[in-house]
Amino acid sequence: MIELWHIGVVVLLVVIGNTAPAAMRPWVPAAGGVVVLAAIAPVTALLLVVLTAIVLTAISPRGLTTSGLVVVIGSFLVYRIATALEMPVDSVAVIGAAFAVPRCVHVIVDVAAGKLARPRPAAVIQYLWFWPTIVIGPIHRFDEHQREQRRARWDPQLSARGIERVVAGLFAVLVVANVVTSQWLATAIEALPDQRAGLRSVLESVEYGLTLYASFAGWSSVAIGLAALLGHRVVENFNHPFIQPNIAAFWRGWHVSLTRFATDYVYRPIAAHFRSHLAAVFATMAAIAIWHELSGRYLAWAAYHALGLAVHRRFAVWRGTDAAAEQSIFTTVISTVVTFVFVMLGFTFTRSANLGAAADAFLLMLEGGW
Amino acid sequence: MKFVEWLSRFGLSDRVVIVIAAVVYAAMVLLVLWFWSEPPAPFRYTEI
Repeated sequence: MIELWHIGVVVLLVVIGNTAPAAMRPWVPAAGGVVVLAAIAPVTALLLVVLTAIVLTAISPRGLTTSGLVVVIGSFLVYRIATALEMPVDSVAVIGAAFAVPRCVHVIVDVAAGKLARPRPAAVIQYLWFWPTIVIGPIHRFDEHQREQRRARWDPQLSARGIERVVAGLFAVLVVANVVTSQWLATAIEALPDQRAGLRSVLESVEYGLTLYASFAGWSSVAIGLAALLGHRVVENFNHPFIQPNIAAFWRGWHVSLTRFATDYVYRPIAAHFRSHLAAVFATMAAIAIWHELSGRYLAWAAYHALGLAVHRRFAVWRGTDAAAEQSIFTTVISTVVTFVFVMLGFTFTRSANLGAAADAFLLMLEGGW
Repeated sequence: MKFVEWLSRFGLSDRVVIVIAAVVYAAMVLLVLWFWSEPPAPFRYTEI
């Protein structure tokens, strides 16, 4: 639960961020990151200190790129494996590590590839410790952060938009996700009689998807709003994912910053190396699954989406781009409904405790009871 | 603000737009405060 002192700290950080002397201003959001993590997850603060040191070493002129990548990605995989094996590591309060690791990988890889000029250590620290996005993302980029930091100043219009985003985000989390969907809707679904077990199983997946969306998009909105209050425009994380006409468009609107990261650092290298869309899309979805959790249910969810993306690609090639552009309202509505149903059924994997429970849920749907 | 911009597209006067936006924002804030202490939905996106 959000406590009153959390809000006090946030207000203080916003005020200091906007009133500090110009020379200190880039450091204030980074100092805020230290305060936020030290207050709610000291273990993560230590972890991020180590990650920052690894990134700075990896991008140093000595060029320890490969070692840095192995340590950053390897430590994240070890953490995921330990969690999957139910080792006590899960009880340690690690918050936001999954958002920090992609940022570290992005900086190390892009500096090594020459896409980013070797940054000053101060700039890397200011990027990795930027407090509005440190806990919940979005996974913004170093160059975007630099650009926003250069132009950051008190902007009444951007600040008004920021307050609107914070209020809308809190509303989505505290009212829609915590009450409307996860309580009221879930209770109504639970009350369905056993004769309608198939329908109930489908609706449970829909409720899960809606709650997840309201919760995650809500927190993303709060983070984007808080960044706006410091004069930073941060990349959007969601773009109407549930009203998209196909599965590829869904992924362009669902957790956009993670999809963008996975596309650039998994899909493109694998597609270029193996000249295979299918291999690249399955590897990308597997990476996205492991980013969430190393488990059978998440890997099955990833394979389900990869299959959907592969089928969509074949279908799009078969139809041709002109046919897609000339799509009528009727076919757009049908394809949007089909995409929505496909995505919601996919949530059956992740809402279930394990793969066996997911299979049982799908069996209930197939056995009828509608 | 996006909501105000969106409302303005309907050709309403500025005063009406401001009143509607104020009512909607006030309702959202009140509902947020009303449900403040409800248990969180079972997702741990902040813990991944």
